[in-house]
Order: sequence, then structure tokens, then C-alpha cells
Amino acid sequence: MQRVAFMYKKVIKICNPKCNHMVDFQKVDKGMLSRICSNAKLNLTSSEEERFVSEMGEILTAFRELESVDTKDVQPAYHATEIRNIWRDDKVKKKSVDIKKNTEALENGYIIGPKLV
Amino acid sequence: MKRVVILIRVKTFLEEVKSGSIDTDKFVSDVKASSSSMQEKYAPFITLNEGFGKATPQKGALQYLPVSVKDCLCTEGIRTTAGSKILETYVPNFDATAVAKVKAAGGMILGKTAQDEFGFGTFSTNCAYQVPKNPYDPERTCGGSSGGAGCATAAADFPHIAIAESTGGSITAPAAFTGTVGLTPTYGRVSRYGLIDYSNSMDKVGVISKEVYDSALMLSVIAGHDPLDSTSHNKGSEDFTKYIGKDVKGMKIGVPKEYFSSIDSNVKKLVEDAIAKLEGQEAEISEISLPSTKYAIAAYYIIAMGEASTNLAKYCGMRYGKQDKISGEFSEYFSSIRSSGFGEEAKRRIILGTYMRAAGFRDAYYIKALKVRSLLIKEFKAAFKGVDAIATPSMPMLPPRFDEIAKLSPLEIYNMDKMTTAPNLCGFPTISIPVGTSQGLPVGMQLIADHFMEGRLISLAAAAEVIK
Repeated sequence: MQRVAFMYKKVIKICNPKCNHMVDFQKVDKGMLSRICSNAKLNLTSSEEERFVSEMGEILTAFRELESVDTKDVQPAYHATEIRNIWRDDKVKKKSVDIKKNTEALENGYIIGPKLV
Repeated sequence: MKRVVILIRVKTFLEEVKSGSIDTDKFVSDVKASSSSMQEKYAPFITLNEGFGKATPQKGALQYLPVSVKDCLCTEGIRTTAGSKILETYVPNFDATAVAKVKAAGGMILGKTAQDEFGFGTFSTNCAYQVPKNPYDPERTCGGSSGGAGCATAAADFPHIAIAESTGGSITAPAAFTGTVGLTPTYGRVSRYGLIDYSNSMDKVGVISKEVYDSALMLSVIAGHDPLDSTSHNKGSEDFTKYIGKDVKGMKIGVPKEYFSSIDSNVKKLVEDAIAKLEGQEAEISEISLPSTKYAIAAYYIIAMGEASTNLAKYCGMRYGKQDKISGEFSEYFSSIRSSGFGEEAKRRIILGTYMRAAGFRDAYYIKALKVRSLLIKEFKAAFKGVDAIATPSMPMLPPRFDEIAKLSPLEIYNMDKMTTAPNLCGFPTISIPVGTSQGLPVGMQLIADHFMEGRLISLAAAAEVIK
């Protein structure tokens, strides 16, 4: 819950997981959009920001029609069909391929990435 | 004397290749010339295969058949972008399983077909490359997201089959708008190995073709269990062409009333005529109701955007795809690459998906949508106890013009998927077949069956098919 408060301080209420109905959400504003974009690693232009804030409100309001569906005691379907894991032997079968063929930044055979800390 | 004239049916072509009556060298050069001219006119391809026909194809069920592949399926040595600038330079060093199977059966890869970026669209207008134009009217959409596959199939003046992909209707929509056949198999029937994923619990590799026979043939080649895909079902393939010509007498078809309201009246009439044609062959028609399908669009988009936002997290300017000079700290670098590499709809779906999966909102949106999916599956399964298949229009309208699409909001575009989201969300197989034209534009009928009942769909589709 601390994480929620940290990420979305402006949310008035959050959904109780035991509740089958959605509760009030604050309208998506530029501050919230900015926090989402920070998580999603996207920079938006100011015109994109304007457009997305307005569209997100409209889209999320439409999606909230699911509120009216009674899903009490219904299990979520993570997949549409029943899938059972099929084990196989952990043996190398395929020829090796050059996984760095598409990499531009290499040094001594290692892939170079940006600074982490 | 060997034949060089190529405008013949796939079935006839393959028989003639087998009997040695086709001049294959001339055929290859004719197809190259024809596909270049088709590209200039309608832009169905992102990349044409420069190596087409250079190697002698293997002997098999598809020997010498030109096969186009949607650009979200990896092809060894051929650029694969999934319609996105972020993968503009990506050349895979392996084949997707479906592609490998096509090659092993003797098919020749003609090129990579245009699509909405990562499959994010209904009209193939969210393209980072050229937008494919409808061969019936170049001012109109081919449908999406497998628009290039529909376009190439409709425009080709040579035997050809397209490998396409559907998440929420991306095979049915282009098939309907281009007057072609679109077969979306059961989720897990065809391996997703090598498919650049959009929404991993819904993505399905399928087929677009001129005739039902061609789709059945291609499904026979690409279906089957794959140890490289943990969601592929433990079922072998079979010869799906054996279902063509089966008597449909006594087969029960449900017509859901919810799918025939608020749609174009010309579309409605042509689909009702096609259903009457099946009734004329003594199929039993009855009206049914699927009331929960009104929630399918919301449930579909919540799940699809949630899964897309995680699947697209891997594109960060390292290892492959769009890269830049490595500089700055990781967040700055990743954000810079992603912001310039993704198009507008991709950004919109990543943002919405990230929001709906976030702590505090996850139960209200994502988990709720998964529960609604459970209810929808239950409702369809109950319907399939009484009927063998369900018939609906493929799309609610005729293919719109590009200037009309430009005026639509994202939400209005999402709502255009009302015929296709429910079966795709639930993993049911569907087939879309052309049922005639209105104002010179094609109309499609969608048939839906229970999981793994593709054979039933093929029998019904072949019985209702109008071969041009």
C-alpha cells in the first residue's frame, strides 16, 4: 500500500480487491500521465500530453462499464483454453546462432548498455 | 509444352507443379514482376524478399507456392519489423515455427506484409511504413491489422497464400474488407514461436487466402504441437482439406441477435442471404442470444493493452532493433529510444496498459477483465451445446475511406471491433468468408466454433463460399 501511495498520491480511493465493483478514480491529469510515462519509459511532447490526457479519460470511462458485471466467485481466465505444461528434456537441440548479430554497441564481445548507477 | 500462364487456383497450380507441367523458372520471374507492380499500386509489403525463388524449394504440399508472411513473424535473413520503426533494422537469424513449416513444405517466402504497428489497429492505418490500399478502392482501408496480407491476397494475379496473425480480429477484418477468406485457428493450435508478441494470451497465427480450400491446406501445414511454445496445445495436425465438401445437412447454426443490430443494412442483408444459402443446404438455423458479448470490447482492450505494455518493455535500444550511441543513464537512454521508435497508438496502449496493471488499479481493470473473459467463455460454451457454429457479420460496415477513418477517435475505432473481439478473447476458431459485394465493396460473414472445431468451420464455409 505504501507503494501505491508513493506512485499515485492523488488517487482518492483505490479498489478493494475483495470488492466486485469499481470505485471512484481520480480523473487522469498531466501529473498522473507523467508518472505513468516515467514507469513506461516514454517521453511525450506537450501536444501528445494534451491529447492523451483527454483520450485516456474517455477510454477508461468506457472500460468501466465492466463495473456492472457481477463477477462474484468467478475465477479469472488467464488463458482462454486449458493449458498444461508439457515438460521436455533439457538438452540442446538447435544449432547455435549469433545472438549479437543485430547488436551495434559491443566491446570485447560484450553488449554495452547505458549507465545503471 | 510447359505452362507459364499463372492466374490459376492454388489447388490446380500445386497439381500442375507436381505433374511437371509448370515452367517454374518463368513462374518465379513472372511472380517477381507482378509483386513489384502490385507493391507500387497497393503497397501490401513492408519488405519484398530479394531471395525469392533463388533456391529450389523443398518437395512438399506447397512446392513452389508463393507465401507472404505478416511482418510480426520472424524470417531468417529477411528484415522483420512488426510494422514498427523500433525494429526497422532487425534481421532475425531464425524462422518462426510457422515459417519453418511453410519452407519445409516447399513454400517460397514472397515478402513481409504490412500491418498496424505490433498489430495495434483495425484499419492498417497505424503503420510506420506504407499504408496498404484496398484493391477494390485504393481510397479505402484493407482492414487491420493484417491489412497487407488481405491486400496481397486480393491483388495477387498468381497463386498465393498469406500467413497472417490475429489478436482481436486482425485476420477477420482484412479478410472481410478485401473479399478474401480469413481463418483464425483456436488459440494454441499453431505455434507462436517466433511471433513478435502483442498480447500473448490472445495472439494466434492464421491464414488469409482466396479460397476456403487454400486456408484449410495451409492450416494443415502450420498446425501442431511445438515444444518451443509452451502455450501450443499437445495436438498433432491433420488434413483439414478433408472437411471440404462434407454435407452440412443437419448442422446447427446459431445466429446471435446481438450481432445484427446497429450494423450497416447492406452488410446485414448479404450475411442473412449467406445464412439462407446454408439453410437451403438443410443446415438448421436458430436465433440465439449472447448477452455478455456487449462487454467483450472493454475486456479485450484491457487485457490486450495490459499484456502489450509488458511485452513491449523489452524494446530499449540494446541488443537489437533501433539503437543509438549509448550515453546518459539508463532511464534517459531507454526513454529516448522508445519515444522516437514507437508510434502514437503504441504509446497510447503502453500508457493505458501500464495504468491498468498498476497497483491499486489492477484488480479493478485487469483482473476484472479476466473474470469477464471467464463469463464469456462460459456463455459461448453453453451456446455450443445447442449449435455447431455461430454465424455473424465479419465487420459491422463496408470498408471505410481513409479520410473517414482520420476523423474517428481511438475509442470509436476500438468500437469497430465489436464482431471479432469476443471469439478472439475466448480463443475460439473463426473463419471469415466473402458473401458478396455492396456498392462494389466486399462483405464478409464470420463463422465461430468451439475450441479445436476448425473442421466444422471449414465444412460450413466451403458450403457457403462463392468462388470468384
